[in-house]
Amino acid sequence: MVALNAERVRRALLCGFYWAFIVYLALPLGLIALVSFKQTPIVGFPLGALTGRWYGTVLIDVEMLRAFAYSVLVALASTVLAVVAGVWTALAIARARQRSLRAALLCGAVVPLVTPGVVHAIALRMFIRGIDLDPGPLAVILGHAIHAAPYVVIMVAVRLSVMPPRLIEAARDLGAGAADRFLRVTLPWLRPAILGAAGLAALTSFDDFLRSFFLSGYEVTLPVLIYGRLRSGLTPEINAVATLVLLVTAAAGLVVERQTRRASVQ
Amino acid sequence: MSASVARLDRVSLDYGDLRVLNDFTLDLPAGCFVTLLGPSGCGKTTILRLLGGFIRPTTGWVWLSGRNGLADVTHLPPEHRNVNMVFQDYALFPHLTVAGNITFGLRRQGLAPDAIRATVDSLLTLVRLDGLGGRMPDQLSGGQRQRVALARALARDPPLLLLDEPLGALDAPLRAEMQTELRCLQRRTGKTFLLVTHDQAEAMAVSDVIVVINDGRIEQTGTPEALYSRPATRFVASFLGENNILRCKVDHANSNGATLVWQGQNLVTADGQRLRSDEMVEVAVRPEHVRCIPCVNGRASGVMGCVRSRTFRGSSTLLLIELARGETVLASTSPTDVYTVGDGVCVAIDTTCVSILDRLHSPVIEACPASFHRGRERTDGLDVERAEGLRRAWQEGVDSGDAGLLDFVALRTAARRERAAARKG
Repeated sequence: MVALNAERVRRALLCGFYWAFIVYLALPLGLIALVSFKQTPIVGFPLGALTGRWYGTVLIDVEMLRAFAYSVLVALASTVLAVVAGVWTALAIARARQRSLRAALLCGAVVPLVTPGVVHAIALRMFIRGIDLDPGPLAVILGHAIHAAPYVVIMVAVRLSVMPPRLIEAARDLGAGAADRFLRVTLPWLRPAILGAAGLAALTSFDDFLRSFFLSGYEVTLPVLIYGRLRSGLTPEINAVATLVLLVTAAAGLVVERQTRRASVQ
Repeated sequence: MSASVARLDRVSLDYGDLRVLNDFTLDLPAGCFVTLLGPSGCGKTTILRLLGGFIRPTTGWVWLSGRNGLADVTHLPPEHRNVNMVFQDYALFPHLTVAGNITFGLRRQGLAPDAIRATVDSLLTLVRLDGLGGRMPDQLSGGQRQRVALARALARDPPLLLLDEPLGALDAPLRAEMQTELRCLQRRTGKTFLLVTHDQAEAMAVSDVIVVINDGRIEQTGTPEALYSRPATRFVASFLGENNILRCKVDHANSNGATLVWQGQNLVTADGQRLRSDEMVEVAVRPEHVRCIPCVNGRASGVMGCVRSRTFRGSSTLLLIELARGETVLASTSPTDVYTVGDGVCVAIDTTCVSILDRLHSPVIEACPASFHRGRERTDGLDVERAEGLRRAWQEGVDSGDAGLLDFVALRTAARRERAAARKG
C-alpha cells in the first residue's frame, strides 16, 4: 500500500512538472495572442471589448508586409546556401580516415553555432567591411547561411555515419560513376537529414535578430522592424504580428518535423 | 565450356605489414559453381573483392573475360568491370522499389523502357518474386531480399557472379531452400558463380568445385566428393567433416603404393610414390571407415581400446575410443550397436580408405572437372540441350516463357525418379 502510494506520488510529481513546464512555455505566448484582440490600444489588462482590427492594420501595413517578404526571401536564399555548403562540408569530413580527425573537423565546422550571437554578428559586420561588402541583402544572406550551415553539417554527418558502406559499393558494382552514385544513392539516403536541416535553417534565419540587425542596410527583416517599432512602445499591432509569426513558424516547424520523420522511416 | 571467365595471376596483397594473400593463383572455369571455403580471416572475401575491383592487389594481375577473351582488369574500377556481386547484407537501395533496385544497373545502358520492363519481369520470374516489383525493400522478408539482390546482380548479365556469404543471415530451413535455388539458378543461367562461405555443408551442397583456403593460400581444390574422400592436407581433413588424423610409419613404398603401419596394423594406400621407407606420415581416416569389433577374451583382431563417449546422431552413432597408448579415434557405428561407455572394443581400419596428408599439392583448377559435366547430364536427365537452350535464351535477354524455376526443380526430380525406376527394373 505504501509502495503504491509512493508510485502515485512519483507520477503526480512528473505530471505536475510537465504541465508546469507547458504552462510556463505557453502562457506568455497566449497572453500576446489574447492582447492582440484587445480593442483599446493600451497593452495590458483588463481586456475589455475584443476586436480583430489590429490584424487588419497589419495586413495593410506595407512596411510590415515588405519586411515579411524580405525575411522569407533571406530565409530561403540562406537555407539554399547553407544546405549546399553544409552537405559539401559533411561529405568532406566523412572522407577523413581517422576517427579523431573527423571529430576535430566536425568541431571546427560547428563553431558558428556555439559562438555568442552578438560576438558573431559584430565580427561579421567588421568582416564585411574588411572585404568591401556593403551591409545589405547579400551580407544578411551570407551571415544567416554561415550560422545555419552547422545544423546541416551535423545532421548530414550523423546520417552519413549510419549509411551502409556497401550501398556505394553496390552502386559501383552496378556501373554507376561518381556523379551517378551521389545523385542516385547518397543524396536519396541524405534526404531526411537535408529536409530537417533545411527546415531548421529557414526557421533560424527567419527568427534571427542579431545578424540581421548588424548586417542590414536600408531594407530590414521582420524581427528588426518589430524591434524598431517597439522603441515607440508596445502596440496591439505588434502583438498581432507576433501572433501571426508564431502561428506561421509553429506550423512550418511541425510540417518539417513530420516530413523528416516520414522520410527517415522510409 | 572449359574457357576461363576470370583469373587471379600470382596476386599478393598486403594490409600494412600483414600479408593477406601470398602469390595467389586461381583460374575460374566458365559455367562452374565454384566455392571458396575457409575459416573467417583466411582471405576468401578479399579474393572476391579483388575480382569485384574494390581492392587492388599489391602485386600480380587480375583477369576477367571481356568481348575478346580474358583481359587484364587489374587497374579497372568496379564500375567498369564485367562482373557483379551479391553482398553479404544484400545492400539493397532502401529508397528504391524492388524494380528500381533491379533496373539500377540498366539505366545507363541505353535500353528502351520496354526492354527494361521485360528484363525486370523475366528476372522477377527467375527468382520467383512475380508481382513484387513495386514493393520497398523493408516490406520484404530476408529470403525475398536475398532474391532481389540476386536479380539485381544478374540484371547486367555478367559472365561471373560473385556471392559474398549470401546465405549467412538466413535461418537454417530457408538456407537449405536457398542453397537448392542457387544451384538451380546457376544451372539455368549457365553463368559462373563464385561463392564465399565458411560453412562446409553449404559448400558441399552447392559446388561443382570447392577451393579450400587457409591463411591466404589454397589448401586443396576439387569436387566435393574428392575433397571429402581424399583430403590432401591436415587442414582440409579437419575442416571438412570429422576425421581421424593418425601418425603412421611407412613400412615400404613403391610406385604401386605403400604399406603403412599404425598401432601394429597394416594400412594400404595407392599413392605411395612420394614416400620413403621408415619415415613418419600423417593420414586421414573418416570415422565411418573405422570398424568396431567386440573383443573376445583378449583375442584381438585389431587395436584394443575403450569407449570413452557415445554420441547418438540419428542415422549413426559416434564413438570416441581411447587406445592403449592414449591415442583416441572416432568411429561411426550403426545406431543399433551394443557399445556403452567403458566397454572394451577392438578397432580396425578399412585399409583402402586412407588419405596421406600434406604430400600432394595441386592448387590450380585445370578446367571444370569431368564430374561436373557428368553431373549435369546425370541430374538434368535428357535435358542437356534444353538447359543449353535456356542459357542461350537468357543471354539474349529474352524470357523464353519456359518453365519457371519451380518447374525446373520438378523436372529434375522427375528425371531422377525415372532413372531410379530404370535401375530397379
